[in-house]
This record gives sequence, structure tokens and C-alpha cells, in this order.
Amino acid sequence: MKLGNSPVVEVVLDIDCDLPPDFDLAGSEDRFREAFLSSYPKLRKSIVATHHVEVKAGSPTHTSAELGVSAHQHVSEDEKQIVQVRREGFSFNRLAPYSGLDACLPEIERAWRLFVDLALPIQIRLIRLRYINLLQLPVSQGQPMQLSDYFVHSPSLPDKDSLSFLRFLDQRVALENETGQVVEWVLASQGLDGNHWPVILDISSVSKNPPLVDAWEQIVGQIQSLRRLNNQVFSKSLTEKCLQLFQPLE
Amino acid sequence: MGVLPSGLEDVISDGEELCRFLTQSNQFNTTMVKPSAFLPSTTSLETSVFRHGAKPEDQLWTIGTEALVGRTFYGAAIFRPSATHEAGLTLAVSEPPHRHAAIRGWPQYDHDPALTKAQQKAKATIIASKCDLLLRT
Amino acid sequence: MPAIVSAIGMTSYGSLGAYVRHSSAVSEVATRSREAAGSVVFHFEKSEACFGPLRRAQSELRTLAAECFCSGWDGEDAVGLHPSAVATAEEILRCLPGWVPFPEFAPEPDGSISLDWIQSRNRLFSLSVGKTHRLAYSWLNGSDKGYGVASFDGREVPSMVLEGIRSVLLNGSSAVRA
Repeated sequence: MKLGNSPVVEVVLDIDCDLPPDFDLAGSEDRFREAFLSSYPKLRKSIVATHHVEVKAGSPTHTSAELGVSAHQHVSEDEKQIVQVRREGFSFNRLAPYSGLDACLPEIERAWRLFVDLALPIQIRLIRLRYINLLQLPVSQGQPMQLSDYFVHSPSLPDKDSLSFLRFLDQRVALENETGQVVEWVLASQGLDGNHWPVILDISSVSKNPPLVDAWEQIVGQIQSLRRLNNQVFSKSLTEKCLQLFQPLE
Repeated sequence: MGVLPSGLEDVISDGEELCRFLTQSNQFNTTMVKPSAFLPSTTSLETSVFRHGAKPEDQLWTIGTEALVGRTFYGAAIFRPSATHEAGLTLAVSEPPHRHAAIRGWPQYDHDPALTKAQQKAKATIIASKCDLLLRT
Repeated sequence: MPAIVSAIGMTSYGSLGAYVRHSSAVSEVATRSREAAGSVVFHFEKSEACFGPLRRAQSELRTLAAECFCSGWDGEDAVGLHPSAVATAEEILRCLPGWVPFPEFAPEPDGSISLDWIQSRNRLFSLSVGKTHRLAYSWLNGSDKGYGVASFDGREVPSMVLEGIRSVLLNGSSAVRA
């Protein structure tokens, strides 16, 4: 689906893998950094921190933290594109502006092949494609927001005359019977923001029928199938009035 | 066959009873010793045990108190050498301290710590299933 | 075109929790959404009826973690329990299906935590949770026994683990956690 005013703020492709038992994420940092340096000169680490606080009567409080690196994030100069090397596999993040998955696929392939060469994944466990959309719904002064104007299955109030939404969160998970793909979507809002009502529509679909690590054409095929599913959920979740906000081109 | 400083023979016979002192309250429940109580030390790759059975009980607890240097312990797992043999492990005398022995032969694969743990757990589970729980009163 | 014909809740609490805790998204919008879901999960978990048993299991786990935090907890050279192992064990508790009773916990000398489902001394399933997402397990069911390794993705307990628990605990019958 091509949109002239795309609400996508982030697209995430996860390829979760079984890595070799002796794969050392921390120890491989330099090798990955060198491999991705030309296109992703910035490096960040995603840290998992766990804290321990020990309080005993009559004794000083003892605190400690254990820090673990869960991912290395290789970031482009403009910080709009990220390749992640995670303990669970590979991720590719594209932040807005987003010009479509087809434009990203060549770079995804290049980054994936570099990851495979260095991490030596044994097998792919799943492929996940996630679109995070931020829908800025216009609010007319003095007029109550009607979510049903914008969402086909909108959250509703028990009594719309006496109640009004402050915020909501709606999560649904569905199985596409023919393909076995699972799609999850979250609709979340935290209320008015000036003369807009920002609503997050976060759609994520997963394929657990993984191809081989080096079967790029099959990997692309699954990515495209997940894209189709995500687009289906997107277009059928929104009313025509809502879709028109994003200037569909076809 | 020689004699050790403890007065015991330097070979552990099949008829002997041995014990593993339980130093943490989660190492057992009301009915049995848990497998984790038998897992080996990460530094020595051995499990420390003592050559004494359930009786006499007061002597057993004295051995434990001396061996653990006054540290609290809750009881002991009592077992025979056949339990370790069934698990594919070996027993070796290891004095001092008196009556001390060690369960050896635990698998270790440096390239795959999880596989190491899985195989060690399987062996520990076999020993745990064959031992009796004796709690201090 | 394939159609979405099934809408399944499928441990929706668990999937919401996974949404909160497992994300490779980096945008500020993703963070906001995760935080919103997190407040729902936090609120949900206050329910005694729905989550009382889970909270008690978590409490037992944390008590063990506090007791064995320092090295030498066994009077020998045991490593203190890894905080990340405790965190992973808590996630596993949240992801257990309703038919699985909560396990017993035990410390291991390498700083891992053992989750034990014990039916008797000859029927038990034991799962080790360490610093990584690879879980080691062993089981004994009469004269049958075995061991293996399974990966935990933070969202679902591996099917091999669930099958092992089922075989030693339920013996083919069904039970639902109270």
C-alpha cells in the first residue's frame, strides 16, 4: 500500500536465529563494527540491567547491578536506519521517513549476509515484520472525538453520553489459517495532544516456518507475505475517512 | 588396601553409605533431595561428600558441623556408591578433611555450557532419586 | 487472498507482557506504546484472583535470590545467583500456561536457578535457568530419563519443556492451576 503521507514511524524486521552455543556477543563487537562501519558509523549497546538491593536490619543497604549487553546497534549517520546484532539474532530498523519495504530490501540483504558471515547462525527460528504507525487524528474544537469515524473496530464506551475516553489500549492476536502466520496489533492512545489525538497502531506479524539461513529468496518471500498481512490489517482496521488522512496513492 | 588418617580404608566399598550435607533450604523439599544439591563445583568439577551414613545420627551431625566450620546446615542426603555408578560417575577418597570424598567424572564441554549443564543435571537427578533425606531436628 | 479467519486471545496476558518486555524497536513512539502496555500489565498483576499464585511464586523466587545472592552460599565455592537468571526465571513463570503448576526453586553452584516440577523421586522435570536464553533440562519418569537444551524467546515456554512437564506431572490427564 503506497501512502503519500505515511503514518509509519518505524519498521522493524527481526530474524531470530539459533546462534552457535559459543557465540559471544560482547566478544564479537569489534568484528561486527568493522563490517558495518561504512554505512553505520555509530554504535550503541542495548543494555539489560538487573539490580539487587539487600536490606538487613542494622546493616548498610547493599546495592549492586549486573549489566548485560542484549544487542549491538549499528546506526547510520542520520540515525534513521539501524542494524542490530542481538543475542537472539538480527534486526533491521528503519525510522521515518519510510519509502517502502522494497527500497529497504537491498540493504537488508547486504546487512543480513554480513551478519550470517560473522555470527554463523545455525538456523532461523522466526521472521517478524513490524510496522509502528502514529495516526494523528484531527480533533475539531468543541466536538467530541468519535473513534468509530476512524477505526472499523474501535474501542467503545459503555455510556458515550456520560463518559469520554482519556486513554485506551487494545491488543489483539490472530492466526491467518492459510499461512500459519500470526499477526498482533495494538491500538493505543493516551489522550488529546493539542488539536490532534495521537493513536498508535502497532502491527506485527510473525512467520514460524523459517527458511534456511542462506536461502535469501525464500526469506524475502516470507517478508513479503508478512508485509501483505500487515497491510491487510492496516487497511481493514481503518475507515475510509481515516485512510484518506494518509493520501493513499493506489 | 591402605588406611587413611580418618581410620577408614582408602577404597570406598559398595556397601558404604555416604552423605551430602544440605546447606541451603531449597536443596530439598518435604520428601526428597533435589538434583541441584548434587551438582558439582564450577572450580573443582567435583561434588563434596562424606563417608558416613544415617547412623549414628549425632556423629553424622558432628562431622557436618566440623566440615562446614559452624555453617548452618539442614540435613543430609544419604546414598550408596551404586547411585553414583548408575549415573556414570566415580567416587574418590579425598582426605583431608576426615572422611571426605568426592564425586567425579562430571561432563564438561567448554564450547556448550548449556549441554554441559543438561548432562550434569541428568546425572544429578539419578543420584537424587536414589538417596534418602535425613533432616536435623 | 488468504483471510484472517481466526481471532485468538491465546494467553493474551502473556502476549501483552511479551509486548512490554521484548522489543527491538527503538523509536520514541514504540517506547510510548510499550509503557502504556506496561501500565496495563502492572495494573492487571495486582489482581489476587488472577495473579495471586504467580505473585507468591515470584516472591519465593526472589527470597531464594536474596538468600543466595552472595558467592559461597553453599558453604563452599558456589557462585551467587545471577540477577539475569532471576529475571529470566520470572519471565518463565509469567509465560507458563494455566495447566502448569508453579515449580519449586533451587540454587545451583554456577549461579543458575533450578525450576523443579517434582511428582515423586522417580518422576520429576528439572529446568536450569542461567545467564543466557538457552535452558538446560533433565527429566526422570520411572526408568525413562533424558536431558536436553531448549531456547527461550521470552514469549513462550519451549514446547519440549512443556511436554516434559506434562509427561511427569499429569501422566496424560489434564489439570488446571488453581
